[in-house]
Amino acid sequence: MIDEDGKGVYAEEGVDYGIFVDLTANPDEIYAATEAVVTPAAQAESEVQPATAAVSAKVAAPEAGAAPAKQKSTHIKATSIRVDLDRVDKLVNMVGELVITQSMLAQHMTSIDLAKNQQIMNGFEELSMHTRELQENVMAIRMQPVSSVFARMRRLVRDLAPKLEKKVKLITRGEETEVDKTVIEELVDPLTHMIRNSMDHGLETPAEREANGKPAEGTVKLSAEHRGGRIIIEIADDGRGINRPKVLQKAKEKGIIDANANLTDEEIDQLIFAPGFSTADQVSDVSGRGVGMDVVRQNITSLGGRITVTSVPGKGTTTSLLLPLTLAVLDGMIVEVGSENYVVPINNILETVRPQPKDVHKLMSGARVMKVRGQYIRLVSLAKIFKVNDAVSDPCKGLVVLAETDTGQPVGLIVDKLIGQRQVVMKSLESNYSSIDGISAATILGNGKVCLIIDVEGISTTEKKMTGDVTMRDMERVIEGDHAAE
Amino acid sequence: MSDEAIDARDIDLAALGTDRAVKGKDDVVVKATSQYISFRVGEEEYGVDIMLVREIKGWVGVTSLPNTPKYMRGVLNLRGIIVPIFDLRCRFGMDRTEATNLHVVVIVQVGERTMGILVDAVSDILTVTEDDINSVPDIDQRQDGEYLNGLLTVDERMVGLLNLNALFNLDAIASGAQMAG
Repeated sequence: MIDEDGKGVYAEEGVDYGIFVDLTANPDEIYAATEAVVTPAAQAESEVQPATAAVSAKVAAPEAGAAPAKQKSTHIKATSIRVDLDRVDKLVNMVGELVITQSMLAQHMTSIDLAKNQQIMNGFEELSMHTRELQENVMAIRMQPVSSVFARMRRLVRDLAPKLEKKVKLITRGEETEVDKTVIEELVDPLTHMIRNSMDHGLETPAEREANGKPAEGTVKLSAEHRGGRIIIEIADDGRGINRPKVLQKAKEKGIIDANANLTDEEIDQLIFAPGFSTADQVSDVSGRGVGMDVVRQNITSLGGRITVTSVPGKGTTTSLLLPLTLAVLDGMIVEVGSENYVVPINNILETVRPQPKDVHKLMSGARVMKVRGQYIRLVSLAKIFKVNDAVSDPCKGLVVLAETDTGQPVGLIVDKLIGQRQVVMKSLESNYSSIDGISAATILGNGKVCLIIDVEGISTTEKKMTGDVTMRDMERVIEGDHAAE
Repeated sequence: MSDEAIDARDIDLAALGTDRAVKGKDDVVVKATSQYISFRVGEEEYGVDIMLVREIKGWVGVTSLPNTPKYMRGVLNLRGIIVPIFDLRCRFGMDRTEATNLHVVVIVQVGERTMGILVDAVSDILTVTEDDINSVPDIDQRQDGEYLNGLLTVDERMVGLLNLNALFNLDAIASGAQMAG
């Protein structure tokens, strides 16, 4: 929601009020201004999160409301302190322990009859409320608005535009969206790269744009918002879009795809993420070195995020980054394998199925595959890789968790059963021990026990080492056999 | 060992630690002493420098790590930190300790890392001067010399002073894992 003057209109979708603030103003000032206006609003809507509170402030006459708010802001000093990240981590750890102890107490409480002692019950309920609140607040300490990164992008655009002899306007939205500090640090490089991409490849020269009936000044929109416990960052340009014929031709030239390959438009768009890919005819200091979007994608996936690109020829390209709010917390599915429990990141999980015996096949190499809707998927026995003795080995008796790997090829993890979905705090194994194949980190469950987090990518490669890669010929044999059976 | 006993020992450690520091500063003539915590593993007694010991706690269950050497018992949650636990008996080539809640885990700090050693019981705090420490005799098995810093004689008992850095060296563990795998 941006008007033509380049002034940002902060308002939530479907809400017809907002604060008008000049985006070129000092970010601190905007912050103070929005904060000042929030105060009366916060009383009206007590259940507003800090990040959205800033944008959903109720101002009857928006522009009139913003002016006095700015004057008021001179009286409000920003009070913040710099604290060592280690200290915050320690605090987070301690609070985590407190929550565990509290839930342990709660379990013991149920076993003894406390109905007679109402006071203890009441006190305990209060305690659990306070603990929860404490935990939420401590987690919020690490959160920071993305405005610092966005501000750097503005400078990048300003510096780069004259170099490329293009006119570019950067519009940002949702700068107050909060993310974990660690995520913010990791965002700078991918964003820089993608903005360079948009400006170099996406946007046309002013003459070209005018010939196509577009305004001479190109627009790059950078926006951030929260969606379902994650943050979405979008970079949209109104340039020429991905030149699909050229991408296809270059990919064939570089041998990234087969010369006769027949790809859909979406598949062609995905090619820009292939290693070594570049459409630039000349190597410049902006683009053309072939190190680019594949590195961006690697960075994003290593953060536990996803990147997608959509493009309309002649209209522009939109790249979306879907990132977790924090690196430390992970949505996980706890699975049982024999006497052990493991966490599989929800991000990786496509679906869970219990296969029919007729769908499971054994290959020559000893590897097993499973047919899911006509597709053959390699089965991986967690029990075998992790040497758990008392686990179910027959996938038809247990469950198969279909998990996605970086290569896009899913694997089926054989588990005994699913325990449940949990948000878990990631703890490194490397800090006190060393890394372990197939395990990305560990976490501490509600009962205080350590539980290992599975690295699906690592599992897949470990399994290949143990049983040998599934060859195409193997696959074909199964497929033929399958057809014969039908 | 009951919780109370452990607590008492914790306090002891702290008191002795400061005691030593003061002694060292004031009394230059007296030979530098060092203190070791000794513990039993089977019939043998071993010791580690008290300054490396963070905590002593009773054995609780651990989460085992896949594809690690046999003496790597697993990891446990020490107030939010994941700490690996090594079985000292098993590290010395014997079988794994049949751990019960009477067994003791000594949490030590080795360089940057925190780790736990599973032993049968903690026996004593030894205050020794440098002269009390005998060098390890040259024996065929070179691992003795490598894993022990020295030998102590206390009331006719021999105490081997552990070189934790060598014993639980990450490279050694990695090669051990390969052997196990």
